[in-house]
Amino acid sequence: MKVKNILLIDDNEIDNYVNNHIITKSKIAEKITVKKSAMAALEYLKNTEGGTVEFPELIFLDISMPVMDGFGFLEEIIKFPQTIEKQCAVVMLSSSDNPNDIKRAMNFEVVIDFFTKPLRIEMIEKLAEKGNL
Amino acid sequence: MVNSKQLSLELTLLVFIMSLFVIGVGIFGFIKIRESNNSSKELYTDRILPMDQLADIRFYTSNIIATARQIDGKKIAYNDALRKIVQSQDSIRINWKKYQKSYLTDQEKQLALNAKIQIDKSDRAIERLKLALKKEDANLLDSILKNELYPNLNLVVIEVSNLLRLQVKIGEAINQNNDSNYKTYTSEIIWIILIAFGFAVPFLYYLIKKNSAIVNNLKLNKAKLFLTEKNYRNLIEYAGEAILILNEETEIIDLNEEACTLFGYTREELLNINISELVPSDEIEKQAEDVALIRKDKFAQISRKIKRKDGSFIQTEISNRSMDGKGFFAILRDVTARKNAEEVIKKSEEKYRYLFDNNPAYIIIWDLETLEVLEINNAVLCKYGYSKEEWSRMSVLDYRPKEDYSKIEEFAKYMLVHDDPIVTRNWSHYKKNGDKMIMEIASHKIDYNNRKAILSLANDVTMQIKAEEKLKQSEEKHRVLTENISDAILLLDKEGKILYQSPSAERISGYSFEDVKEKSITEFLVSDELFRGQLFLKEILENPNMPKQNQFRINHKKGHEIWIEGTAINLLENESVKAIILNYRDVTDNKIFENELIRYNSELKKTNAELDRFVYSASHDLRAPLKSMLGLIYVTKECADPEDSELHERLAMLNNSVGKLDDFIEDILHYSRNARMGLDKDEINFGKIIEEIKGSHKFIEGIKGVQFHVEISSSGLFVSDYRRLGVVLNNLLSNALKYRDVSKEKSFVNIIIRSDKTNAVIVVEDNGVGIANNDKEKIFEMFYRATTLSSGSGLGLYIVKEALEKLEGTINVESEQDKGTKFIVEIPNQISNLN
Repeated sequence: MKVKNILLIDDNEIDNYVNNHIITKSKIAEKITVKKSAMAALEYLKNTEGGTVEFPELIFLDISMPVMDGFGFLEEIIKFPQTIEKQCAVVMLSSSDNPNDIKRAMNFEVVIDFFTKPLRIEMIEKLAEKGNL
Repeated sequence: MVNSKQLSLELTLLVFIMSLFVIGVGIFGFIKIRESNNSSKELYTDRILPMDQLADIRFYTSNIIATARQIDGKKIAYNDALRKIVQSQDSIRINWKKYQKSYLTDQEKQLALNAKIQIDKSDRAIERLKLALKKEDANLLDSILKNELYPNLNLVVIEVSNLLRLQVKIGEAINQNNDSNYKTYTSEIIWIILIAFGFAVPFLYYLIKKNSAIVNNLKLNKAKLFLTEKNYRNLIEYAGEAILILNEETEIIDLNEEACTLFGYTREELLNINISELVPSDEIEKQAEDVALIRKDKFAQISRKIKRKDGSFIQTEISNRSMDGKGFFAILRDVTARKNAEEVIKKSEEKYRYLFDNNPAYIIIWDLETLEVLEINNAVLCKYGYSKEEWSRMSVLDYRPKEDYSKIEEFAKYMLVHDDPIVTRNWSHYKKNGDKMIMEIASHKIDYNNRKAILSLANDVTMQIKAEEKLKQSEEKHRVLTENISDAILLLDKEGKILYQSPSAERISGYSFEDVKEKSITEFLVSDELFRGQLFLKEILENPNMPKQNQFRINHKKGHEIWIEGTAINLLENESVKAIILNYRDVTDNKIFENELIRYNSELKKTNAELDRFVYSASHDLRAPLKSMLGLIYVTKECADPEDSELHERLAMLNNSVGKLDDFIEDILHYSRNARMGLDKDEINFGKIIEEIKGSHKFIEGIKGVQFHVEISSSGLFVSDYRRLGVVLNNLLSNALKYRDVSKEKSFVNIIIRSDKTNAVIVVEDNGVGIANNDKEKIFEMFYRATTLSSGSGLGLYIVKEALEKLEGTINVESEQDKGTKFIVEIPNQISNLN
């Protein structure tokens, strides 16, 4: 099964490059959208209302970002009605393995997994195995 | 004098008793004779008369039979026979009637019934015979005779004979009964007579013995002869003192005029009187003892109260002499007056003795010349612990300290010649057990049994003096304390006005007592504390006797603020205080210090939190680029030509190097957290924790070749710090993987966990490269790396040890180089501390 649209949110360009590369390689998505900040991502999501763009079904989200961090983004995204309509899922993708962060993130229903960087193809395969894609 | 009255009384009594016996025996005999008379009457009426009647019946029956035989033999005329038969028949009827009226026993009645039947039958036969005789019918006669008369009459004879034999038998029984009764009565009477003799003989013996007095009476004459009649009379009459002559039985046989006057009886009365009437009843026993004494010693001087005729008592002194079995010679003197005087003296002496002995004061009388103790009272005896015996050998020095000896000796010498009035002063005395007492002693000079002595009246003032000393000490202590303690003491009245301040108060506030006197305590408070101060004062006033603590800022005389801290207690109701007591001290320095401490503490908290944030973000910021690098290496490797081994090798080295740096940062992060964070209490799921750790290691190169064996047995809930336990297990597992022995065909890691309600034992065992013996002790040290294989920071096991210290656990290692390593971790179950 393929996901129509995957949203990748990270302020680190190298990480975006690597992650984009790996997700592309795993061939689970028809389309990968990359946003460099939570604000930009929210802006993008608001635009999906017009119907021109698909609301993403899977979002890879970094935690540590300037202005609005990953948790701030989570607080916002759960307010979008499409999140529920499209059964949108969030996978945290952070360089932190701080248990507090993991716990805090997993408390959001929308978050289905917490990956510690670097992302590997096996991780995506695992996600697919679980039937989350 | 022989007491004839008593004698006659006793004789009358004897005669009376004997008469009673005789009358008793007579009455008894009479009754028994009557009984035997009745018995013989009964024998006559019940037995002899009926016997006669029965004999008549038999006789007349035989008579009829004889007549019948005469008829049979035609030897008698019919009319003669008829007459004879009629006569006999009448006699039989009369006698039978009489017999039936007599007393019959049951057996007799039975026999009589049989006889009656026969007699009636015979009667009827006789009637028919009489008819036949009248008709003179020979044939009829013959048949009646043969068939009726003979058999019936013969039977009557037999029945009657039976009755007669019974009569004889009954009569014999009665006779035998009478005979045995006679024997019983005879023996009874003999016994009664014997008993009577039993009483009478001792009584008679007693009387005879008594009457020997009559004989003794005669002996008086002999006594008179003993002294010669003339001398005797002179002695008796002109002795000038009452004289009584008594016989051996202490009966008065002679006396003189003085004796009459003494007793108030006439001569005749006294001669007839029993001596016991002259002695008061309560002294009779004593008198008997005295008599016995005189008999034994021949002479005795005795003192006796006697009873006069008018009932009054007089005290006499009696000189008694026994006259060798001829009686007693007694001279009596009236000593009532003397006796009374003696009695008064004795009583007053007793009274003094009583006062002396029972006086609560300690009284000692001692000899001024010899210093001997002459007398002590009971109080002294109890107090000092010496026995009476010991006191009798003691001198007045023996119970005093040596340093007082000379003082006492001087005092004795002085008192011997001077007659000073009572001297009172304190002396030290010792008890037998060595206890020292301070006695306040009043000494009086007295004459005691013609010796110059000191009567010392003592009071134990030990306690009093001790108490006085204590009081003095306590006052002094109090004064020193209040003047010298750094705490200030204020006394306030109910309006909060200062009544007193201790000297230290001035040292604290700078104000002298003159400055604060009569001023309200609230005046000295810093203005913004005024309201709180007033509230506190109110609270104290409302809660008497309850100490209340508080702190206030007050203005020092020099103008700066100072902190005071102290306790106030409302003792306004306490009679001896009647004030609010305030004690306080200057805590300005403490307060400054405390404030500083609070400030430092909050700063420290802030710093700590900042540090935490710093470590977090630093580690994150440091790790983020590393993670990016790892990602890049990964991507590059994926895209690289698989044939280009050189590139792959370099990428692997790069990957290793970046991974090491990342691990190192993670270690530092763990260490930092362990050191600063408090202990969490989480429910531990060992299975889950192991799975998580295994998961985080799954990308390590070659891990797939390692065999994992996990064995968990938990009983009940296990509670510990999840994160720290994770760090421990992660490090151990990571080490086991990292130091696997690649030369071995198969590598394995065994994880065995056993937990119960007290603790958990975790064993992590591998067949890795092992640890050299001399390294074992150092592996837990910071930055120690035992092997060249080590690619880590040298922090791992150090962090394990640190974390276990926090968990209150222990770790042990068993290892052999090239064989493998076994870590044994033991951590307590914190379930009891779980909130």
